[in-house]
Amino acid sequence: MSRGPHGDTHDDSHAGVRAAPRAGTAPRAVALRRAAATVLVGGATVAIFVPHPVAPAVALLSALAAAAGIEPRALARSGLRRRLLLLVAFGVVTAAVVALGADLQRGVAVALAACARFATLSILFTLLARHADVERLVAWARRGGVGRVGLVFGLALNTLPQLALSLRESATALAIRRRRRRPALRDLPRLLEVQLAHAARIADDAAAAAALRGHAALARGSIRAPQAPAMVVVTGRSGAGKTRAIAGAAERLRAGGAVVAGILQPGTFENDEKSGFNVRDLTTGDERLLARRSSNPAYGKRFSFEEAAFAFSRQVLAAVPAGAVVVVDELGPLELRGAGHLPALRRLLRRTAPTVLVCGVRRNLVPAFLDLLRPAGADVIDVELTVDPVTAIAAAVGRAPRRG
Amino acid sequence: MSDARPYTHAALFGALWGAVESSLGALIGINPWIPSGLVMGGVGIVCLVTARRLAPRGGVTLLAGIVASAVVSVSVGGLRPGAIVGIVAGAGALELALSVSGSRIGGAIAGGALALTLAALQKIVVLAVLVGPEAASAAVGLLRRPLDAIGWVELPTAVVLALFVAIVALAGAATGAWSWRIAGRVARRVGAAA
Repeated sequence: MSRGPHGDTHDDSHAGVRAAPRAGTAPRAVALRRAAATVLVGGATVAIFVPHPVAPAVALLSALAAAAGIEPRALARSGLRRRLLLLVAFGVVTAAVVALGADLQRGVAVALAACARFATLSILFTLLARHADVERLVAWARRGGVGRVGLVFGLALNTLPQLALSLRESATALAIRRRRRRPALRDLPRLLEVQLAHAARIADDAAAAAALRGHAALARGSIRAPQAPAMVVVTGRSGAGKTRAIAGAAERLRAGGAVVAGILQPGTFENDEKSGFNVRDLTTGDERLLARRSSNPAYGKRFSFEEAAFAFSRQVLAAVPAGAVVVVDELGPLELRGAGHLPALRRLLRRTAPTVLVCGVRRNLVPAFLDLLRPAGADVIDVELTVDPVTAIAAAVGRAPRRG
Repeated sequence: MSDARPYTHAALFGALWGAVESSLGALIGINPWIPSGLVMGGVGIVCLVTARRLAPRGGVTLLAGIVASAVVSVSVGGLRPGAIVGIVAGAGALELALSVSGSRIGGAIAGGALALTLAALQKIVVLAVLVGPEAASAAVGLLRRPLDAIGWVELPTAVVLALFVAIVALAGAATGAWSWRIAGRVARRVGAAA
């Protein structure tokens, strides 16, 4: 027995090739034995796949030799003795099935080969489990960012009951709508669609919750500005009046002597329906068509965007003077994917020191943007829950902490 | 979330596929007349294509497949090497095709064809590994039966396998295209927009 770094004790015989060579054993001989065993393990692994009658026997012999070279006790620990009955039963059934189709001799040969493969796999998995350097593998995984995979597994297992519940509810709702006891076979695509939408909503909620709780392990790095500005987030549903409120507040702040610059995104309408939106320079009032509703909508394509308008907004944000109150009317999924106005905003935050950043953001994306932009402080104003949003925004900008 | 959504989408859609695989998959796997690998492969393609379309980042598809295989391995049904190999291989194929195509419909079609072909062939490969080449030959023999029934007797094994792969690949391509459409409808349903 030896004592571990944390005071725990462990059996050195279990440490296998990771343990230091015993006194009196030449390190060179140990290294040679390990190399030979590794070659044998590789040979056994390849031999399992070779379609030749002798291959299973070769694989088993290689695995046995490898186990003898690395750790003879691995044979006992592979559980073959405990599984012997199962192995015999497996062999007998295989032999019987093949004998029924061909003849007894063939059946016995196939059964022996199958048992040899089974035994080889058991030994190889035991060697792998006992001698793979798990700490090194974990370190590699961490360096490769695979540590997040553990969080993803946790999330997947935790949401399973919710998925099962939503499946039952969807099936019941569909059955009621169809006036049947249970959905028919032809309803399955519809049920699948509803279930996938449920999964997507849960995923979005989980992502928002992860951002809200600061689970940085599940997030890309946030924007690193030299000095994070204070932020006023104007939120509400689409069409609730976020742009109107921000424009009104900008006017009021200007009237009060503040320098306000940035972009607004007023909607454009056709036949009383929103057909798209423009991007407007708050300083000059110049506008460009930014997006129009797509005739063939698909994900990320409900609106088709004009690249020229993004070039225009880049110019506008590049010309924002230091110390100004910066307005970026709409930050959405496009920006969360690192596109849209985000590159220009990122450059602006690195280049200048805006006193306050005023942004329009959908409700469900607020935590995500707070996590992304990491402001020095934030006021969230919901235009649907505020009696006078213009005054509220102007007041929030007024009380935002100013940098010296 | 700057941006946690690829991870959460991989988790949720992987969990969904894993749950269906370990419940419905285990159920229809008992019935020898239902091609459970193909049915479950189709369900997987729909889940993975939807995850990729909603969170279009490289690695989402493969990660969702790994999550699904993990869910299957911890399910009541226990460790099912065939299903796990099929899930990871299918997800890898879809990931490759969608990454090369830039998450477009062409990638979904090619990936669907590749994934379903792998799902169908994995049963033969697992049989060959665990039981031996004889079992794989027996499986190919089963594939010959419908061909014998229509009079195509004594076809070489390679031709039988090629025919099987072609039919399955066609079905996979159709599933990929259908999945892309379903994913679009799901995106509109949840109000995902640029």
